Amino acid sequence: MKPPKYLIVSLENISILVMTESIVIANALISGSGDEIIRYIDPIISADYDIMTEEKFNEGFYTMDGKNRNRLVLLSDEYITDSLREKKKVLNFRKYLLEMLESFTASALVRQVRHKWSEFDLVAMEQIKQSDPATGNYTWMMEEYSRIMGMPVEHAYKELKIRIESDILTKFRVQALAEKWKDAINQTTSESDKSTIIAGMGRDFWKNNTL
Amino acid sequence: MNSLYYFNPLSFSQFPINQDIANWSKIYKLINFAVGMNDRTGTLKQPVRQSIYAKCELPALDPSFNLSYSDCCDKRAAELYELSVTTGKPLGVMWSGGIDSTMILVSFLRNYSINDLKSRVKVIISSESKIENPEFYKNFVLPNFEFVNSEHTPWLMDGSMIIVTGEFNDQLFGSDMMKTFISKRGAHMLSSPYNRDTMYSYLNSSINDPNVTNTMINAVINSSNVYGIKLDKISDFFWWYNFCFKWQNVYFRMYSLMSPRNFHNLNTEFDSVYMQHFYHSDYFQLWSITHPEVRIIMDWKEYKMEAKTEIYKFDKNEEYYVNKIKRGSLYTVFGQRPLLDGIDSDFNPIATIDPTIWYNPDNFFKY
Repeated sequence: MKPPKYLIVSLENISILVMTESIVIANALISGSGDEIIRYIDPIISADYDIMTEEKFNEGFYTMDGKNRNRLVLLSDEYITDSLREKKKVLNFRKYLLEMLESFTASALVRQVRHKWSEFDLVAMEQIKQSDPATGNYTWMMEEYSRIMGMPVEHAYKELKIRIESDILTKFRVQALAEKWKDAINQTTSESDKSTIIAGMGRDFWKNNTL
Repeated sequence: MNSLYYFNPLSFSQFPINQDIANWSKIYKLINFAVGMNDRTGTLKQPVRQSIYAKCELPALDPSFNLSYSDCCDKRAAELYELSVTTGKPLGVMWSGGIDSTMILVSFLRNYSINDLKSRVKVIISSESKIENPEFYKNFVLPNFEFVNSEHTPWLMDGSMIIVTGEFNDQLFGSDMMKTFISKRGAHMLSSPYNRDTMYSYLNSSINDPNVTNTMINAVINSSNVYGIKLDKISDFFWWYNFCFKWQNVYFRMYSLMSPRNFHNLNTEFDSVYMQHFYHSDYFQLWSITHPEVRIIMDWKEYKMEAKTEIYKFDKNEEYYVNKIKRGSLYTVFGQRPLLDGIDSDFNPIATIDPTIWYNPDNFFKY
C-alpha cells in the first residue's frame, strides 16, 4: 500500500493549495485558517495519486473531478483570484516551516522511542500508580516484570518509574513546544518572518541546550 | 545601575542590535552558543553590562596550598554532610553516571556508612544515568538511594532539599575545547608550549575574524597576567578560558531552569544553602591552579584521570576506569525546556533579555 497524501483544499472554490505526506502537518496547516479542509488521498481514492506531487501543485491550481475517480482538473483562470494566489503562497512557506518543526520534534524525541508497542508507557504508568513501595504492595504485572528482569520488585519499580516518567514528561514538553511553534508559524503571513521563526525554533529546540 | 550575573548570549547574538555585538557574537562560533562569558578578573570589556558575583571571585593565590584532589573531595563531602545535618534537609545529588557526579557519590560513600547516607542522600537521576555507568548504578545507586526524577529539577529548587551538582569539575581539569583541539591538531600540540600563532590559527579557523580572534587571545592572556599566573602550554590556555571566563555562567545556569513558582527562592540566602555545586570552593580552585599537569593528556580518555582513579579505587570497575570518556550530560536536564534568559545582580529572574537595556557601549569589540 502506498502512503497516503493529504491535500489542503480551499473551501472557496475547491482548489488544491498544498500537498503534504504528513497528517500532522496537514492538521497544523488547516488549524491556521478556517477556510481550508484536508482531503485524504490514496491510490484507491484517486486515479491520479501517482502524479500528485508538490511540484505538480506548484505548477498551477487544480481541483478534483469527483465523478471521475478524483482525477486532477486544471482550474479555470476565472476562479484564480489574487487572494487565492496569496493564500497558496502563505500555506507553502508555512508548510516549509512546519516540516522543519516536525523534523525538530522527531529529533528531540528519538531517545524516547524505545519499543514498537506504543501503549507500553501508559500501561506501565498504570502499574506504577497501582503499586505502593511504602507498603510493599506491587501489582501482579509489576511482580512478573521484575521476575523476568531478574531483580527485586522494589528495584524494578524504581527503575521503571524513572524511565516511564522521564519519557512521558519529555514527550509532554516537546509536544508543548510543537504546539507553541505551530501557532507561531500559523500567524506568519510574510516570507520575511521565516528567519525569526527559524531562529526561535532553533534556539528552543537546540541552541539553548548547548552548554 | 544593576548588571547581569548570568545571561544567555543568544539573546544578543541571534539578532545583534549593532556592529560591536555582531563582532562579539562571532566568539560563539567557537564556544557554545548558550554560554555567556564573564571575565572573573574584569579585564575583558564586553558589550553586555555584567558584573561578578562575590562567590564567583577568583581565590587569593596561596603558594603553600597542598591538598590533593582526593583531599578536596573528602573535605567537600564533609562540609555538605554537615550542612545537611545542621539544616535537617537531605542532599539531592544530581547523578548522571558521568565522572563528575560519580566522584561526588564516591566521596560520600567512602566516608560515611550506607545507613547514614540512606537517610541523608537522595539521588536525582534520569533514565540516561544507568546507561552511562551501569555497574555503579547496579551496585551502589539502585539498591541504596531514593530516586528523584531529574525531569523535576525546575521544581526541586523549593527548599525541600539541598541540591548538589557536579558543576565545575570541567573547569578544574581543563575544558571540553581540548577534545576538539586534540581531534583537529593532535594531543602533542595540546601539551606543547603556548604559542600565539598556533592559538591564533586554531581559534580564527572558527571565529573567522582577525580582530575578534586577537581580542579573545588578548583577553585570555591579559586576564591571566592580571591574576598572576602564567599559561605555559596550549592546554593551559583552554583551561584558563574555561576557569576564568565560564565559571560564573556555570554557577548560575542551574537557576535558569527554575520554575516560576520558586522564583521567591532566587536570592543569596537560598543560594548559600540549597544550591551546592560540589566542585565550587576555593580549595578546589587552588588545587586546579597548582596542578597544570592534569591538563596534559594524550587521549581524551585520560581527561579527568585523577577523578577516574579515585572512582576506580572505590568501585574497582576497570572498564569505566580505562574507557570512560567525559561527555556532556546536562542536555538531559536542559533539553527543550523554558529557560531564563538572565539573572541580574539583584538576583531578579529575567525571562527575556532586551539587549538595548543591557548593552555596554564601553567594550573591546568596536573596530
